[in-house]
Amino acid sequence: MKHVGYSRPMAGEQLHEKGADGARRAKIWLDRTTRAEARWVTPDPTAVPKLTFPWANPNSEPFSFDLGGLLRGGDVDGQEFLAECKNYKDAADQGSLYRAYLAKCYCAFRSRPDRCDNFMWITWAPFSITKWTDLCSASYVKAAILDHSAKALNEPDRKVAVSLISDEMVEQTAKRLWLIVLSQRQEATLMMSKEHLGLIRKFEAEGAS
Amino acid sequence: MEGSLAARVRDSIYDPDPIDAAERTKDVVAQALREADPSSVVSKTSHFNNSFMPDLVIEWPDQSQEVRSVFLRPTRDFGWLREDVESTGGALSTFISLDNLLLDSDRSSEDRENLEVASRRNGSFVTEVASIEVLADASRQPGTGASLLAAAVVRGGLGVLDPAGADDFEQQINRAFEGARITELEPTSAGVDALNSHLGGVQAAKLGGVMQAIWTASGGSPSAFPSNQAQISTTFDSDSLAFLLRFGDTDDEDFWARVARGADLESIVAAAASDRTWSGLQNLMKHSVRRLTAKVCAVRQDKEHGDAKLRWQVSDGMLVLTGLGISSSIASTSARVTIPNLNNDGLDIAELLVRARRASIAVSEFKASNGDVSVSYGSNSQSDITDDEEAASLGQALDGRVLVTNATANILDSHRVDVSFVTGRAAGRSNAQVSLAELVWSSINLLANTRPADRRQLAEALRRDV
Repeated sequence: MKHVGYSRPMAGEQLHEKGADGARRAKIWLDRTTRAEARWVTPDPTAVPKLTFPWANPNSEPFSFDLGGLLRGGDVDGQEFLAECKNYKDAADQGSLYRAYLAKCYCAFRSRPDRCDNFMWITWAPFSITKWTDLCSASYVKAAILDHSAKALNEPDRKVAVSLISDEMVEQTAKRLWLIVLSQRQEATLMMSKEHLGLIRKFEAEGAS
Repeated sequence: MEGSLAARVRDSIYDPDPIDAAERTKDVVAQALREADPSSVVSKTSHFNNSFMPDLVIEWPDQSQEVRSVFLRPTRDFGWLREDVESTGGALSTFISLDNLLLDSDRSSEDRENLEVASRRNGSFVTEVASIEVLADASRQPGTGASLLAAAVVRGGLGVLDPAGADDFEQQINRAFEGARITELEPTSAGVDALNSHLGGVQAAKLGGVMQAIWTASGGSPSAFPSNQAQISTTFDSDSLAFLLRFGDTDDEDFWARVARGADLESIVAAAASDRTWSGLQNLMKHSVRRLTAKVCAVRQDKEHGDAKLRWQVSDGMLVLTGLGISSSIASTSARVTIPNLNNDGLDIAELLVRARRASIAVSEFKASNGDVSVSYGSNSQSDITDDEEAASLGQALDGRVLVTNATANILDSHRVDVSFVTGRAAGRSNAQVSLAELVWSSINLLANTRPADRRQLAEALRRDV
């Protein structure tokens, strides 16, 4: 038996607000882990240029990530991250959006490997469940690039595009992928308390130079 | 219109390299804060635009001022900024917008009002670099009330202050200080209200105190000053006195006489320490020197100033009178004496008596020694022995064989000052504070060999009949 579903798409401005709200929530969560600092947040005008990268196709509009910042502490201290945030209640079209995102990650890494230590997909709703364990694999990244070869490789013909992909870069891109699923309850309750954050703040302020 | 400092911030924050953008921006803002309050120490943290960690920390190591956290915010979203203020802010927090959020906004908008309410509710200060620049420019106009505002907002701003608001604040305070100078109630009262609106309690009270000092020094009744403070003080704190010293009306003798009534030695030393011109201090000392008391005076030869005219200054935390080839350092307690003792041999008995007589100093006793044997001579009733024939005979008999190490001078008949010719110090006995003018007169004339012209100059400086 088939099931047909329908939902009214949100107007552009609502989508925009929802997106900005998601980026903001993700930033707060990341900051409060104390292991990441989301310094640049779309749509702040100061942030957008730093989060924007080109496609391989010069005729395509550049794309932007939602968040950017640094990881802190341990082996990852000082590494940059770029993040895409999906403030969704359900899977919706995250599957296709995620594949487009992977193509973007590949292009970003190819153009500025020094800026692309980590790519984070932050969502409030899991998606592509049957493929979940493959979503960060090199093969999945490669397939996503081919899906978007016109922009990602400047070659609309898939057969030709295959030869243009750098397997090494695909591998490197895949190694940098994170999948993070948040929930409202987690944000409200499973974050460090204000009192503990105050102690950390005091400790770090004393070390300021 | 954007000033140069705000332009530098925008240039930094729009640097395409994210790490450079963060560090350059913090450097520019830190420098702006230091220029606004030169007594502050501004340090960078390793964070930028973190939702709960400050970007900068401001301290005042030598003052009882609490550490302030500064959060830099590139956001153009009022709601986000308000959330940050509510969740992270507090009485010691300053939020600085980096992208002209306040400059470009409508003050009457609901967003602005909500931000204002949030910041006042938790005692935070929200501003942007352009506002600080307005006040920092004003701080370079000496002699104005607004010259004090930049440091005050850095230490304790309150509420939201955009560049237009900073401009209004500057003008209101200038009008208020001018109003206080002529004891005009309306502009002075408006200025006090502006202080309470834009500054937290401590800073508002400090600047209000300076305004009140001007009001009082200008002849206004302290009780008529438009203050909501419970106590009306008749003495000036060091901040108020410092302002008066630097910017007071130098031609008005009555003004300085009134200032003198509200000052003691310690407040004068604290206030004058940062003023390198000392011109206000000369005026103040002219009217204070006969009122002030002190404990210790240390006299040194001072070849650097040679025969220069006598002049007051502050050095090493002490009030100092320089000139006539001598430097006399005065303190209110022995603990405040910061210069080391001398190690002289002492003085001939005959020379002591000559010095005391020619300066009309009553000496009631002295002790002389050759290191092995000592002899003392004094009056049991503590009366003056400088004209005693026995004292003179003793001096002749022991001439060159013993030297006076200590003597006791009588100040204004009732106070005793112990003078050491070895250490070069004179001090009121036990815990006594004595007349500063008489202490200095006795110290210099006994510990140094003064000429008649020296004594005339010294008498004039100490407002004393020769």
